[in-house]
Amino acid sequence: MNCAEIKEQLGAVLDAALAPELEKAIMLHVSTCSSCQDEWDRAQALRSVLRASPQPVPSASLDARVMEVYYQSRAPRREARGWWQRLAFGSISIPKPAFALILIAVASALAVAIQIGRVMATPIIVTMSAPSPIEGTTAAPPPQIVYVPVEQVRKARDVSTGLSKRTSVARMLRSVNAAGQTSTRPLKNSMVISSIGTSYATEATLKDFEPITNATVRVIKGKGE
Amino acid sequence: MTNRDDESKLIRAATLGDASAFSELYGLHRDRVYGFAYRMLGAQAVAEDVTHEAFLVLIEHPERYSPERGSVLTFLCAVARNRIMNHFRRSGQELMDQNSNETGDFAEQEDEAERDPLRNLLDQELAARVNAALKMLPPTQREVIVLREFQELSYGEIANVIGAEVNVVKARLHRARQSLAQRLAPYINADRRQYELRRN
Repeated sequence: MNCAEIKEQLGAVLDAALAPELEKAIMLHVSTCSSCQDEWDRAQALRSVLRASPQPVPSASLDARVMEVYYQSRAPRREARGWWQRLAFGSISIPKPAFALILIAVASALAVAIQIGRVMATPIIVTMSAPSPIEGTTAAPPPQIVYVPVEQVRKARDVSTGLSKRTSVARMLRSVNAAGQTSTRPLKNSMVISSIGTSYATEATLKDFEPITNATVRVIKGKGE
Repeated sequence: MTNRDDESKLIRAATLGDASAFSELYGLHRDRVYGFAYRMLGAQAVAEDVTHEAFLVLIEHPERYSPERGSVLTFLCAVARNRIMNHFRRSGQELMDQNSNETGDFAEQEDEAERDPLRNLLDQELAARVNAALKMLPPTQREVIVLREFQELSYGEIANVIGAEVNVVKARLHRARQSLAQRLAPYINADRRQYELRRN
């Protein structure tokens, strides 16, 4: 090993991190080389200076913080309760105004759910109101009623899926022309009708329905045939 | 210093709620963990937070410590090191830039009346100079020199803490010592004379 390599190892000698034989060989060289000896002295002096530097000391609050964490981590845990148990036993505190609002919200949701349930329980009847009087006639043809059970009534503003294939109601549109002749036409095109009630709005898509000119469509609740 | 078996017993007892066992463990390692954190960060409050977090991990996750992998001190220093590096990343710069001249955080002798005031002053100055010299080192060199010179961990333990090989530790130590020797030259030169005198 040359002096440069020896000097690189002096730190490891100081740290007793070398094999005994290697350390011995290095120190033998150091004892005969003034340059390496100088470096060895510097290494020892550096260690001495560093270790003479006073030890930093934490504040007393650190001890208190750590011990508190220890005690908290080892404190007996309360028996775990579900939130409803805690609510029942009064462990959860809810301000009265907030509780009142919660009750009102729950009651409203129930009312809406009941309403929707009623709607869903009854088929919707689509009625075609009377078309505009035919020119030249004296009486308007009677309204044509088409019973169209809607398979599903969704919530307000949702569009239903339209005619149910399961229904046995005739899916025909009867119309009466000015001459009083009755004809039926199959429902062909889709049509979206809407009816806005007092508490809900329902849209129903009718499949294969051919709209009648100047006709208006009204969706009412009622029993289907 | 307790051996690993003793430490394992203390940890087991502490885990089972023996406060005195934990207190003993804490007392054994507090200063060294804090010293490592302080010399890396240069700020008392942050160093205390890091120390607190290191012991918190030991308290809440004692299963993470394994005697086969190293001593409790090595474990605590490794946790502290992770927190320190997180601080560096979050702050974007080393905290030692902000608090490079703290002189009030160093050990005071218990019996102040017997201390030479001049000695106190010299100690304070030395601490400040050493801190300033450490601050100039890159964190990777600083951590190995602090762990070696102040916490007196072996090369293997240092390698364990920083997650590197022993030869990397050795190389970084060599570079750190060269840098420090230059920056602390006046103190080193004064100290060297005693070695020359001894030889002569």
